[in-house]
Amino acid sequence: MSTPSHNYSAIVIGAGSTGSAVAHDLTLRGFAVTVVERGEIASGTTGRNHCLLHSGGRYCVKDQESAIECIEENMILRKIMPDALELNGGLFVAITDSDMDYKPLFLEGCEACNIPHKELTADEALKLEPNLNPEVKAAVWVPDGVFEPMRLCLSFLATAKSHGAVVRPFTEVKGLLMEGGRVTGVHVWDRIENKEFDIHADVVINAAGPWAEAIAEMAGIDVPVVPTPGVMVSMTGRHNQRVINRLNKSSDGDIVVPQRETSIIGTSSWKVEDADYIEIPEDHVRLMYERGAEMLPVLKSVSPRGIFTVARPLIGSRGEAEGRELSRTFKCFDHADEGVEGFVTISGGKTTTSRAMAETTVDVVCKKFGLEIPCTTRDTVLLSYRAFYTL
Amino acid sequence: MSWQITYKIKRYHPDQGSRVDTFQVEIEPERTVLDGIELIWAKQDRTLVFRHACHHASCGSCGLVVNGVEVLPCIKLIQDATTDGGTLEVEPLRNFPVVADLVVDMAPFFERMQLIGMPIVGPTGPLPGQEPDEYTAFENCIECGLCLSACPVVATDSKYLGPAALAAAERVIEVSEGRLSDEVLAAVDNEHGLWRCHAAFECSEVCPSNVDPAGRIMALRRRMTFERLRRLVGAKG
Ligand SMILES: Cc1cc2nc3c(=O)[nH]c(=O)nc-3n(C[C@H](O)[C@H](O)[C@H](O)COP(=O)(O)OP(=O)(O)OC[C@H]3O[C@@H](n4cnc5c(N)ncnc54)[C@H](O)[C@@H]3O)c2cc1C
Ligand code: SF4
Repeated sequence: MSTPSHNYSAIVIGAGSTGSAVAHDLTLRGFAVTVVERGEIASGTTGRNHCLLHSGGRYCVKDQESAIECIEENMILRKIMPDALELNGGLFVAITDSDMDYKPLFLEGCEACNIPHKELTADEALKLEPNLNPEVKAAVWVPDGVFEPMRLCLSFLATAKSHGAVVRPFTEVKGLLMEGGRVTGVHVWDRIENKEFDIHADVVINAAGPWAEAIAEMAGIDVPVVPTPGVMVSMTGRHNQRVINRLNKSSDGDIVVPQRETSIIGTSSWKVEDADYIEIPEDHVRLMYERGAEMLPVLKSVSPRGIFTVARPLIGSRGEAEGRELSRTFKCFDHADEGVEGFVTISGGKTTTSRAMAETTVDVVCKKFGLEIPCTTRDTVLLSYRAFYTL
Repeated sequence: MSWQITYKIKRYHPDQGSRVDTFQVEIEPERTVLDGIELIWAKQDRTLVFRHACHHASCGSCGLVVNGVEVLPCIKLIQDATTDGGTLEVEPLRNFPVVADLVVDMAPFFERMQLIGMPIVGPTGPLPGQEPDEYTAFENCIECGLCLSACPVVATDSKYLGPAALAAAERVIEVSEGRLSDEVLAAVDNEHGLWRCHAAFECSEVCPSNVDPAGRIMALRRRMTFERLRRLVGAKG
């Protein structure tokens, strides 16, 4: 593969799934990239999420735009990311009559969004997942999967590094460098060396997740990001092999994601101002146990191994509808629209759709420089996350 | 109800040397030792550096020594680590180069894991009573390095391949029902590999993910001994 030739440089703020995928795409399109992340890679929202490689099933009735994005990206990641995905499938299970009423809607949604699916009888479902509630009435199989968020980011970043990117964890952006209405770089604090300095670039991409608003403020721009946390409870032991979703409208505690030695019940939704440290509401945790056990009764008799929470970087203005109602799709802002050149913000979305988010973002960046370089991330197989440490 | 916990954290910066800082933290006993560290960073001291990502023992990044023992602080609940009013002494992993504060350099470790080349995703056994079918799952080893930190041999022989990599080699053989490549075999079957282990079993003691590296090292030894014997007998016959 020949690298497109131009001499533009880019800084990516944040090494969650969004920033990592953006860095990878930028390097493939010939940019000299520096990634600055204030903590460890994936120490923000990405690392602590529910690890579901969405099939789109969870959105196929109410938010088909998201569902289509999910299934497309799910299929792409299977091809390009051999090292961070557990391909175990998922079941949507009907326990109650109300779930059964939802089933035809769900099947229609799967059809409309092109999500491969297979109807299972209660017996078939129980045979696959013996710990399911014996009251289960029916189930639908979909190609859900599980990712390991940090390794997913490291795969993108390892590949970016192999194409020349410089990745700087523990480097916090303290300010944006501005010259006549243009962002020309970042002022950073290296938290390892405990030193502050400037890094210059032709474009700065703000991929700071729930903190994107704080970064945009440094350029005097208002980006409406609503940090919307959810609670997850990691239980002792793995009690399901596939992802188990409740066959109904999205609600709290309606999914149990298995990963390695644990089954993780999630999740809920509320809003916070500060995403740095989030208090965990006790009633949310109780709800996770109750709702999780409706699908997998065994969860009542095992102890939790850890409870954790993190905030979605959802787009919307404060005071709007409750968190769950906000769009799950992402938005890319070229701040030239507000009169600030050299500065782009990408927010919202999901880890599952990080590659697509990066494609859109880098399309926007290329357009700013009048470059017509096609995106090649759909077909570029990523390096192992281990290469991040050994390159 | 929150508990009052004293965190004594070992600090290190390249040009400032080491010291121990003390922090008072109010935290619910159901939260984790890692949450307490993040709370200190968020509310008391933004200069504290530490590694973390998944908070559920999957990424393997947060390993530390707490009150003298290797743990993953993300799954160590405060109530299981101490009592109300208690103290947590927090240090970085042993036997790794310290970068700053609680951050260690994992590069030498991952070089070894890469050399062995165990795929991190593999086939998994079905649950009891379940028909086997097709699915893959992450390997148990989360590459956290706790076993290396606890291993008395790693402490004295910096060239020792270490429990995680040796366990990975055994797993490669098990999963592929095959042999190791010549390169891997050379790394495993030498004086800094398989035969260096003292069978102290500290690694299996601290492993947070049921890998049982010590058990796997013993199994690998049996395989290798058997192989050698087979070759010997083969050569005579
Ligand atoms: C509870 C919950 C469950 C979820 N489950 C799933 C799921 O199962 N599957 C899925 O696909 N998606 C899931 N998501 C959504 C997904 O996690 C997020 O959309 C995604 O992780 C956002 O990634 P990001 O890179 O935009 O943000 P982040 O991961 O937060 O990355 C932003 C980074 O910027 C860094 N940063 C902040 N300020 C600065 C600064 N000043 N200087 C330098 N760096 C800075 C932060 O440290 C952080 O690492 C879930 C979200 C939540 C909240
Ligand atoms: S063998 Fe266990 S302790 Fe060692 S790196 Fe793997 S998970 Fe960690």
